[in-house]
Parts: sequence; structure tokens; C-alpha cells
Amino acid sequence: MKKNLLYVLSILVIASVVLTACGGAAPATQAPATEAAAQFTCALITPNPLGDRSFIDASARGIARANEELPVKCDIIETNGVAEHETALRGAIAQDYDLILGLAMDAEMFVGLAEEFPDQKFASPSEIFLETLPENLVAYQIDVHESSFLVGVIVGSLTKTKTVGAVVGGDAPALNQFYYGYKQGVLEVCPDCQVLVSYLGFDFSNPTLGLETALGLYDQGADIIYQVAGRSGEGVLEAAAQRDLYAIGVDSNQDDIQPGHVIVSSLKKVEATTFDPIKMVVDGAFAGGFQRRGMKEGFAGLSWDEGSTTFETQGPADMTAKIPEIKTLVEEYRAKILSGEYKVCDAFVPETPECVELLAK
Amino acid sequence: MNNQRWKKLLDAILVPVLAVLSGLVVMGILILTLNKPVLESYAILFSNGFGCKEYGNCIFLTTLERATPLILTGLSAVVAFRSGMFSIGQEGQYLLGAAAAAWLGYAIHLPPILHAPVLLIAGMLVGAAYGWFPGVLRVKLGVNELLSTIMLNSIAALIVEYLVQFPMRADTSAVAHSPVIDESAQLMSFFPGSKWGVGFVLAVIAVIVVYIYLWRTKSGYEQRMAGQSRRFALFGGILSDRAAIRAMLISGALAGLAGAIEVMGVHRRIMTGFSVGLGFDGLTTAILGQVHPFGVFIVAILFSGLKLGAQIGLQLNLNIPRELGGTIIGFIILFVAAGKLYEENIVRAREWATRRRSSRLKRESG
Repeated sequence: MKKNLLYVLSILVIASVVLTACGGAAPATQAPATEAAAQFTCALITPNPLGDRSFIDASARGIARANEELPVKCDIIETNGVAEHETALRGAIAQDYDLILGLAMDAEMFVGLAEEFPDQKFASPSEIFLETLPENLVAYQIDVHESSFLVGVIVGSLTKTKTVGAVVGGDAPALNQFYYGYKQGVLEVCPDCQVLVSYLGFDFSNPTLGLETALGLYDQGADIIYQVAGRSGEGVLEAAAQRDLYAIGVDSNQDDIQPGHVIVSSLKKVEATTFDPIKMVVDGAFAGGFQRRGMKEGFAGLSWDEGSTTFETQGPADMTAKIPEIKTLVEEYRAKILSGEYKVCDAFVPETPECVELLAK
Repeated sequence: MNNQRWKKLLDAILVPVLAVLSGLVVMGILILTLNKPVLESYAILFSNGFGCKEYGNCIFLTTLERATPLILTGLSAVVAFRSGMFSIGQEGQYLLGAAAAAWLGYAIHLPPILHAPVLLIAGMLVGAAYGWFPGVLRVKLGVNELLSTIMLNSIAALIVEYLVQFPMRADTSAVAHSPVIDESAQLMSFFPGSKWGVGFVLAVIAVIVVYIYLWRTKSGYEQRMAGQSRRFALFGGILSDRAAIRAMLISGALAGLAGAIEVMGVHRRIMTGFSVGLGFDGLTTAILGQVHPFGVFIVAILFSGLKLGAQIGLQLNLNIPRELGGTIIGFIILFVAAGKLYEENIVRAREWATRRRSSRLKRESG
């Protein structure tokens, strides 16, 4: 028995020697196997492997869409953790891609690379918080305060306890943008409502923490909770189902995660910020710098806008009955915001009058 | 050098080489099932792990840079294992050493000649202190060091996560990170476009120092004796308890140094997700390297090169998913771990050869 195993192994060894020996000779002819150079190519470097059910997957959808709709060939390079980011980026640079997209890369490192390779175009589908960017790097930021305001309007119209909550990943402008907009929306339609908030201390990967926090808010009388907490937020949705109460999804369409308990999701479309720079390069309109996109450009919105009817069909009758009326209200506010008639507080500029007024409440 | 010694050395090299080759065969089979070109994938695996195409884009330099923390965490494991301590606490020591260096890198300002050494020493001290705990627990209370180091790893990971998220957090970016360390604290790299630099030299020095310490000094001899046979060591007058604690201190210092170098030479700061199992990779390196400093040095370079080639190179060139790269590395480790099989085979082959030779000699003479 053991002897047989040894034979098998020795055969494997011999075969491997033979195979590698052939392999060594091959590269000269086979290495430049890249396809016709005329086609535009791009690569997305992900910060962690695919399958997060959140923004990495969303970004990958943007690449899939680009491959489908544009004359491009885009690859996805998965990495696992910061130690591999720069290596993967440099590897991609060496492959002569026309555009390299780095999702949630370390800002200084990414900018440093862009300065080192001024002829290579780079894009960041996610926010980069720096003062300036080099010419060959474009960074996107999605403004979510306006879409969160619409969420607030929906929540303010549906709450029965006049107390609503928000579970926010951390106390930072990028996350408060969700929360401030939401709060303003709730108070707009329900001035005597109370908005509770719990911050999770930047723990975005702890559904148990999200669940416990949400249960705490429900215990304080909240009946609808807006979750802005990545994977931790899945716990908030779970808590809503446990208590037979309600929650709001975030980033992607989460209406179907706990059907009937998730009223609506506020979308932050990383797929769009992944697709957009590719399209810019294809159109020959690439320009470095910051790009802010929001509800107006369709980069942020509601799952209802995309035809999600999960809550309408599976929610309790007394709430779903109100939905047509609420939808009209939402559209009224949307029109007002888009025309500039109504201003929503943006947490990045807390000194504006609308923010000062909101924060005083 | 005598014949016996050469034979031993040859065996030590032959086993990992054969194991890697077997791993590569399995890789070929896996790639065949994906309908990707097998031969090309081998070429890419090696050119993207050990190749050097042009100035400013030399992957082998990246491999050496990635190997640096592996060499040090590997050495850390070697010192512990050789002294009879099955410590797998490298991950925690590495993280805390890194956090100490990252903090001192921006919190204090010193002239360049002083700043970098201060950080390196701080990293080593913190690592050593964190290695001391399981050592003392083992010696005084008989706590199994395997269990205590596993727990201490989790604790260190959470402490560092907290530090990065709150006290050391630099700004409000989505990924929490500390401020960039002062220029005076950064370790120089040798070529632009790569982070391969002084840190690697320090690692090489550490390899030599550890070798000399373990095999050429009295206390190193005590270490090894205490590791190989506690009772014999005691009989010989070696205080094996002291040797065990000393081993944990050195082991912790080496892992802490790895963390400090990673901060000072590569990332220039610490951030969430700083270590993705680097400490454990060091453990693998130590075992694959036959628990010998020179073995660790070779295996660390081989391992990081294979990792780059398999997990990034194959993705970039052939769209082979990174999971497959990970699987290939897993197979190689498995084959090396099963090194006994090869050893037996080698011995058998050698016996067979000797028998043949002797029978031929007999025939010729007779």
C-alpha cells in the first residue's frame, strides 16, 4: 500500500520535472499572448476578494457592464489585504492596461503610483480624501445626502411610534452624510419625531454588533431603523425581522434580504463610479481630479426607483396602503431638490444654514 | 566538509524541491481543468514570481520585499521551536511591534540617525514583551504555549484594530489608518519603484545572527538542548526554564522587528487589515525550511515568489482566479509537510544504488 503511494509520488515528481522543463522553454513564444492591442483594456484591483455582497461586488458589476456595453476588455484582479495592493497595481501597470481602477486603495500609495507613472491613467471608484490629485488620476465620490433625505421622508411618513433610528458605521463626514440627510427628511414630514442614532465605531464587519445595537434602538421605541454600516448592517435587518419591525437597506438593493421588513434601500452605486471612468476613457474625455456624483446623475437613489416592489407586496397592509401617497410626496421633494429649490444638509459642509439648523435640533 | 554532512545538506534541499515540484504537477492538472494553457501558466508563475523584466519593474525585488517579514517571522518560529516552545504567537508579536513602530514614527521627532533605530528597537521590545507572557505562563503555571499564543494573537489583533480605529486614526477615510511616519523614520529602499531595501538587509543579518547564536554560542546550545531533551539539559546543568523564557523573548523580538520593518519600509503607517496571516506564513516558512535559519531564508523567498506568481501573476495574465493560486500554494505546503515520504524514497533510492554498486563490484571482482 505504502509502496504504491511512493510509486505514484515518484511518477508525479518525474512528470513535474518534465513539465517544468518544457515550461521553461515556452515563454519566449507564448508570453505576449495579449489580444489585439487595438482594443481598450482596463483592470480593476479589488481591496479584498470578491463576494462581499457589498461594494466590491457592486464594483465588479460595473466592470461586467463595461465589458458588455463598451468596446473594452476589462479584467478584475482580486487581492487579499493591503500587503498585496501595491504589488497588484504595479503588476497591472506592467501589463500596459489603458486604465487601472483601484478600489479603496491607500490614498497616498495610489497617488504616489500615479505620480510615478504619469502616462498611465488611473481611477478610483471610491472616495479619496486628499486636497489635490495628479492629472492622471480621477477619484469619484458619491453624495448620498439627497437620497438619504428621501429615505427620511418615507420613514417619517410611515413611523407609528414617532421614534425612528439610525445605525451608522462611524462618526465621520462620509457616513454622517447619510445620517444628516435622513434626519432632515424625517423631521421635514414629521416635525415632532425623534431620531435616535448609534455609531458602531467603524466596525463594518460585525453583524452581531449591528443586531445588538438595533435591538437597543427598538427597545427605546424606534420602529424603523436606517442602517449605514456595511456588513454590520445585515444584523440590523435581522433585528427588524426578529422584532417584526422595519429597517432601511443601504448601498445595494437589500429589500429582499428580509422581505417585508426592509421598506426601501438607499443605493450608492459603486457600479456606476466603476463604469463611468471607463466610459470617459473610451470617449476620449478622461480628466484627472475629483468627480462628485449624486442623485442628480443617478449615482445615488432608492431601490424603489429601480422597480423594487418587495415591501409593497409583502409588507403589512396598513403600511403598504400609504405607499402610493408617499411615492408622490417623494417625487415632489425629489423635484424640489433637483431644481435646487430645496437644500439638504451635506455633512461635508456642516457650516451651511441647512446643516446649522438641522444640527441645532 | 565531510561526506556525511554534504549528504545531509543535499537531503535538506532535495525534500522541499521535490515537494514543490509535486505541487506544480497538481497545479498543472488544476489548470488543465480550467482549459487554460498549462505550459504558459508555469512560465507566468515563475516570471511573475522571480522574473525581472526591466529597471523599475522588477518583480523579483517585490518578492524579496515580501519575503522580508516572512524571513523574520520564520526565524522567530525557528528560535521558539528549537528551544522546545511550540509558539505560534508570531502574528500577535508582529502586529504589536508594527503598532509600536507606527506610533513612535509620528509621535516623536528625532534626527534620522536616531529615529529609525529607536523604532526598530521599540518594535523588538514590544514583540519581546508580548513573547514573554506565554513563556512565563508556560514555565510558572504550565500553561500550554500553543493555546496561550493563539489567544494572545486574537487579543493583539483586536488591540491593534482598536488603536488604528481610535487613538491612532489619522483622518476620516473609509479605511482607518494612522498618520504617515516621519521621513526620518522610514527605511530606505534600494531602487525606485520597489520597497526592497534596508529591511531586507536587516533580515539577512538576523538570519546569520540567529544561526551563530543557536549553533555557535553557549546559550544557543542551551536553547537547543532544552528543546531537544529537557531532562538531559537539566542533568547537564542547563536551566531549561530560563532557556524557554529566553527563547520566547528572542522569538518575540524577531517577530516584532518584522512588524516594525513592514511599517517603516513598506506601508509607512499601520491600517486596518495590516496583517493577513503574515505571522502564520512565517510559521509555515519555518516548518518548510526544516526549522533552520538558512532553510527559512530560502523558503521565504520561494514562498513569497510563488504567492505573487500564483495569486497575482496568474490572475493578471491568464485570468486564473486567485483562489486557484491559493490552492496551489496549499498543495505545495501539503507535499512538503509530507516530506517523510520523500525522505524514505530518497533513502531507498540511495540504498538501491549502493546495493547495485556493491553487487557490481562483487561481480567484477568475482
